[in-house]
Amino acid sequence: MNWLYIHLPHLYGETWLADFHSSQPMALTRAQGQQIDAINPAARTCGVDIDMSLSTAFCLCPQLRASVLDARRQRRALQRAAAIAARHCAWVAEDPPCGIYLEIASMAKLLGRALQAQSTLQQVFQQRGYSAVIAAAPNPKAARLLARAGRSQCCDQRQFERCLGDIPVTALGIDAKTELRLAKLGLASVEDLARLPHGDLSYRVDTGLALYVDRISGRQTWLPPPFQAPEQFRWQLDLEQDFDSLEPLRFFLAKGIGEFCHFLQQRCLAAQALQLTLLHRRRPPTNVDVRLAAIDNRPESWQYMLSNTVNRLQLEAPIIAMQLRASVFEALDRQERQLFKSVSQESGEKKSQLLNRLGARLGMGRIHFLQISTDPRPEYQTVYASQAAVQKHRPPAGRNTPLWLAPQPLPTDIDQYTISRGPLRLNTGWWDRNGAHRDYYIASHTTLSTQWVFRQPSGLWYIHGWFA
Amino acid sequence: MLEKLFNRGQIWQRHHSSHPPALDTGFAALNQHLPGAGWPADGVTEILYPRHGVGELSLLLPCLAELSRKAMWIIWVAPPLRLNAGALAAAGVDIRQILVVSPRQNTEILWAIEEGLKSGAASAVLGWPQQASATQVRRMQICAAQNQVPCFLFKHQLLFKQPQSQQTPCALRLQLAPLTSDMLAVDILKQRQGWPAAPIALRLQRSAGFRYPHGAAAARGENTGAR
Repeated sequence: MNWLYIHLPHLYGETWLADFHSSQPMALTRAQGQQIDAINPAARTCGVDIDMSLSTAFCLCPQLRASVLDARRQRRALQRAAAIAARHCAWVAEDPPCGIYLEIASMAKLLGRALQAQSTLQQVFQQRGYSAVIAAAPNPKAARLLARAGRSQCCDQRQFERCLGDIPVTALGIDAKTELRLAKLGLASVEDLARLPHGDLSYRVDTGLALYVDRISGRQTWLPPPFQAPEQFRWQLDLEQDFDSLEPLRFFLAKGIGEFCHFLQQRCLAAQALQLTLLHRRRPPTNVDVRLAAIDNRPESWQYMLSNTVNRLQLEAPIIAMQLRASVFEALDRQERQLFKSVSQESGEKKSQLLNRLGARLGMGRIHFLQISTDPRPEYQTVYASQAAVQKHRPPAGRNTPLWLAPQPLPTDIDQYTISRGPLRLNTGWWDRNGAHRDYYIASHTTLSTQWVFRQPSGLWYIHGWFA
Repeated sequence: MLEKLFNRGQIWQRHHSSHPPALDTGFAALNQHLPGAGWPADGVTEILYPRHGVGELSLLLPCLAELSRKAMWIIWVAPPLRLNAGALAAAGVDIRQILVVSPRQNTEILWAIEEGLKSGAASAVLGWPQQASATQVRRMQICAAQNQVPCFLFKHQLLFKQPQSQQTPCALRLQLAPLTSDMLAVDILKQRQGWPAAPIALRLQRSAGFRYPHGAAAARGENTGAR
């Protein structure tokens, strides 16, 4: 067996920051931390280093741009890199935060020997803008040690044992306390460690370290758990002629939906969104999002939603092919296995059914729930959201506001009003361009309609709401 | 002729029911005059009002606050203005249960009202149709009765595109008229099991939260100063 390890030292920066390799010094810090976790080469030339505190780094390099490393994006970056590697190798394993194991012995026919495989993958990752250190060794942990020590080598067992003498113990990535203990014992290289008997090392220094060294030297086998690429659904239909309307294609779309639901049901999954792409001959493709109110995997719900979405669609050009794609799935609830449904479950189902029906005909953008934001300006306080609020809102205390608000404040003539209450001064919104400097009054129009009017410092009066 | 009127549902027949299910309106004076002492819980209530801001929503607020305690939605179809969630919450309505649907065309508004009534997920449906024929109101009335959901149709005197005197088979029809800025006259034009009553005067709950409680004189000074 032969293993390859790909170490991507700048994985996060190269995936998420477009100008990571520019001359602008950049540093990434851990969430809520002041310590630097990763830097780009420009920052390194300024003298900034990993594990340095952020304030020191700013002293050394005032133009440094610091951003926070998001753990979820880091995982996604690694997943992307692993998906790239998985196109070349059957057994790929992730090693968070920035490494990938590849088993290459069984892929020898496809990839060639270790050296060839190494150069192929080096090229693949380089083309995608990653700077990778790739090493090959007889076992996974050995390959990892080489790559993390910065040695792009391909070794068999004997060569590996020989080069262990040059690798310092700091390359193992163990904690500082153990490192200090090793230094006190006079152990400087990994070779020194590997020579010691397992029992002694375990007794005198650390059991975990002894096990680690055994895995590196191959005295104990360890295999990484294989990586599973995220599921994707993709269905495409190439048409034999150009179609001006989707009407004759409904049957085929239904077939695509059938396949999609079959795909979901086989895996015990459900989805909420599906993308329909219509390809044109001389235009960029049209993308249509089909969304349900709740996750579902039944063909009838998807069929209803898709056919109504298609009804509202106006084609700009004839189509030559259709695609259905989905990549976000959720596991079905466990409660679904019960024979009888509870009352809340049944009403939840009725609600999502209603949302689906309304959304299918009117479009999801025309259905809203209400939420209250903390913005003091009345026009921004009510939020028309696509989801209901999770917690019950407490009404803003001590305010007397109308039930109806005008979409835009309407200019009005104050002569027609009798003011009954006020003023209430609102002087806010300095943080954006829509600052509000208003005195609000409750006033009754000559027609006896009670309205909420305000006066601006300029002396102009506006209607802002109706006490309906 | 008589049969025609029966078929259109324009004549109430005594043998139908004793007391229809009703929802408390929160106004004792109004309850007294309504059959079952409240809003029809399984029918269409038409509310005709001359202009925004006469108290057309305040009339429903006590009932809506009560309904929002159920884990079901109160569906607002095509409200003519933007809703203020803060004011609704202050009136005791749980705004998590409010669903606002804003269709563009009248047919879609009527369809959405009907869907809401039939869904089994709504505790009440409030609609502002641009126009609704007698047949369409009858459909809503049947849906509301079958699913036991109250439905409130608002007809603005200027925005509604049909004569408001038009007869429709609703369960209750009211005409609102403002008396003063916080008094409202409710005229029952039609109700089941009863005759149209004389206008009832109601005092509306407009909570006083302003810093200067009732500074009419001061405000008037301010007012003239502004000019």
